[in-house]
Parts: sequence; structure tokens; C-alpha cells
Amino acid sequence: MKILTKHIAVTLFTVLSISALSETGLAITSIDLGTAESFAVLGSSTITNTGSTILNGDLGLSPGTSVTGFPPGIVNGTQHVTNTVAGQAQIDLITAYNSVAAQTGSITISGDLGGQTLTPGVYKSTSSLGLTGTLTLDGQNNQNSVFIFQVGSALTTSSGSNINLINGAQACNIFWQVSSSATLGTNSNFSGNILAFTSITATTGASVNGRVLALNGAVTLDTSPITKPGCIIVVATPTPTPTLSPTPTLSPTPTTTPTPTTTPTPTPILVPGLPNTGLGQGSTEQPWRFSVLSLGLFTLLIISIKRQVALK
Amino acid sequence: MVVGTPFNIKIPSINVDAGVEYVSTASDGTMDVPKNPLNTAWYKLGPQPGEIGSAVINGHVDWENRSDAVFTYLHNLKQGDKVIVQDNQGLVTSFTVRTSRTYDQKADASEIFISNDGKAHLNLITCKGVWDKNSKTYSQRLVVFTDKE
Repeated sequence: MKILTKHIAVTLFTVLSISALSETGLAITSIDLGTAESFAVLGSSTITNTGSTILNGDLGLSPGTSVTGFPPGIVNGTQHVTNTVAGQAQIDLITAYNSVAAQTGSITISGDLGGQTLTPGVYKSTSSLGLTGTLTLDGQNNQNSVFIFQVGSALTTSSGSNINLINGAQACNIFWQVSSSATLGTNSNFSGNILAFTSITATTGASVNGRVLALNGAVTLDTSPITKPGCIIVVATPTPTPTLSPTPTLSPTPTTTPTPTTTPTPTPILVPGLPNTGLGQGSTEQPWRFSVLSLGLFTLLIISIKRQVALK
Repeated sequence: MVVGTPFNIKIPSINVDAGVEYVSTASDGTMDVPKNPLNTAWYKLGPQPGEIGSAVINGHVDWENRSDAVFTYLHNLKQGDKVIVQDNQGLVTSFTVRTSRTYDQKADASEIFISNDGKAHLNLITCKGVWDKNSKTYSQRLVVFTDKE
């Protein structure tokens, strides 16, 4: 029922947004993830991990309660499980999902994206979408360029597939709105923020330079490094309009005093002590060897005594 | 130039291809270490690999059951060997080994964590020396100094 309500809200918002945006003709902009921005992984029902996954970013689950596999998985961030932070992030995720789905001016894509090079824009597939091989996203020398993918059903990437970012394309500006579930193939390298209506599964060794955000279902990971991307934001500097001024009268050039070069003050770094990076397993000292030897000799002694008693 | 945070480290000459955990300091003031013996750990309070200054990454030399850890063979690195770090933006930065030095475990680590030559360095640390069962640590630390190409 909750999922149905969420679905209706998403659909209604999408329809309204599309009509509003169509009238205003807004250009493609980056998507505000709200508080979901701090998460590498955000799930709804469960989060299950196998193997030595590393999450660089927060982990969140709401309203579900089951997060398993950390450790051996490692979260370089904060875990928010069934708390208000995760709940708010899920609310913001719905808004972001709707915002991605509402982007207009889409170019139709279908089938498999492998071997293609795409430029910034909105791409829409009415059904499932696949990726075999390499997809290249060309930012056209604009680090603010945004790539939107609206997938009408499932998104599935093949084993060993890649997303190659060139000419300023940034993972933080790539958004995959998946209307059902996303599955990333074994040892694949994926880039961008996945906003999936249901679940997201990263199979063994699939790495994500981006975020894994599931609105209603589970997130399943297996030795999957997921790194919340940093983002370089380029702010355009306005070109000043030159004002016409009368030609100045030439005057003797004064001798300029050289300005002393200022040395930038380095940011102080807290110097720690040297790390303790060993457990002594490679050292020659092995107390257990002595214990095993003693136990063996003791056992032989007992057997010997028993035999002697039996012979008597 | 803004660089992303480290994602993966490769040292081809000793077959290292490992993930990167982010650490700060442990409760005793030493640089913290990776939780997984097959991962490395980057000192997140310092520069990122590729930034001006000295970025530092450490890794275990050994682990339970005497199995190899990520930096078991760090001592085999020699001048000119490559260290490659990929960041979370996909940017690859290459470093070249300049030298290695051995420090006492309690030595001042300033020259490992701080540099003022305006260049980008990456320094790798692991354990070395004799195991002290009382303090549960090795007597020395091996530091490999590398420079950005």
C-alpha cells in the first residue's frame, strides 16, 4: 500500500512537472538530490552485502531495518538505519526521482548503449535498457554538462561493461532514472547516480562511481566499491562590458616598485604517529608451535606408560 | 586543480590492485589502518594523491593465519617503479618511486606527511622489523616515497 501511494505520488508529480516544464521550456539542469546527496547507498527494504565492499559515502536504509554484510564490507561514512536522516533522504529521493523523470526534450534510445558516444542531454527509453561493452559520455569540454537517462523499465549492464567519461563529463552530473530495477554486471564499471524505483543489485566486483539509490526495494552488493562522486562546479565569470572612455593624456610612466610575492600559507596538517600495520604473523616468534610440541610429547608419554602397564 | 578522492591503487611491480579506505588517526594518535587486510588506507586529513603536498597511504604487511596482506611485498619496490592511483572521477595519477626509508615505530613522521616543495607526492607505509608481543607492533616502519610524474 505504501509503495502504491509512493507510486501514485511519483506518477502524478511527473505528469504535472512535465506539463509545467513543457510550457516554460526549461533547459536541462543538474538534479538536486537534497539530503540524499551524502549517501553512496540508500535502500528501502534491505541492504545486503557480500565480500569486501567499500562504500565511500553514507549508507542509509528506511523504512526497512535489515543491513547485513558490514563487516566484511566497510562504510567510509555514516550508517543511518531506520532513523530520521534516512527517512528524510528517502523523501528527498522521491523528489529527485520525479525531477529526473520530468526532464523534457528527450532523445529516444533503445536496446543496448554499448559502443555509443553520447553528448549531454536527456535520453529516454520506453522499455528496458542494456549496456554491453563501453558507453562513452562526452561532456564537450563543459564540466557542468548533465546527462539524464530515463529508463522505462529495467537497466541491466553486462559483465565487464564500462562507462567512459571524457571531455569534462562528471559522474555527479549523470542521473539514471530506472522505472523498475537496475542490475550491474560482474566486474563492470558504472558511472552516475542510479535512482531506481524498486531495487538495485551490483553483482560480484561491480564498481560504481556514483550513487546507488533505491526508492522502494532492496540494495544488494557483492565486493562492490561504491564511491559518492565529488563534483567540480564551474561558475561562469561574466565578461565585463567595456565602457568607452576618453583617451587619456600620456604621462610619464612611474617606476614601479616590485610587489613582494606572497607565499601562500600551507594548511596545517595534523601529523599522526606511524601506523601499526602488522599483526606479527610473519615474525619468527610462534608460541603456538611450542604448545603443540609440548602436547604431542605429553601424549606420547601417556601412550608409552599405558603400554608398559599393559605389558606388565 | 581539484582532484577527486582516491578509489583504487595499483602497483604493478608487486601485483597490488587494491581498494582504498579513508582513515584519520587512531585513539593513540597514530595514523589509523585499513580494516580489511587486502585494502589500503588513505590519510584523509592530508592531501589527496595528486594534490600538492604529501598524500599518505598505508597497508598491512601481514595478517592472521600468516596470509599475505596488501603491502607484504612493499619492500621489493625500487626506484623508478610505478604507483597508479585512480580517483572517484576516473582520473588516473601516476607516481614514480624515488626512495625508501626505514623509521623507528615512534619516529617523528613530519617529513612523511608534510612537504613544502610545491610538488605532489604519495608516500606508502607498512610495518617492518621485529615483532614485539607486548606492544603488539613491529619495531620499524618502511616508507616508500614517490613523486607525481
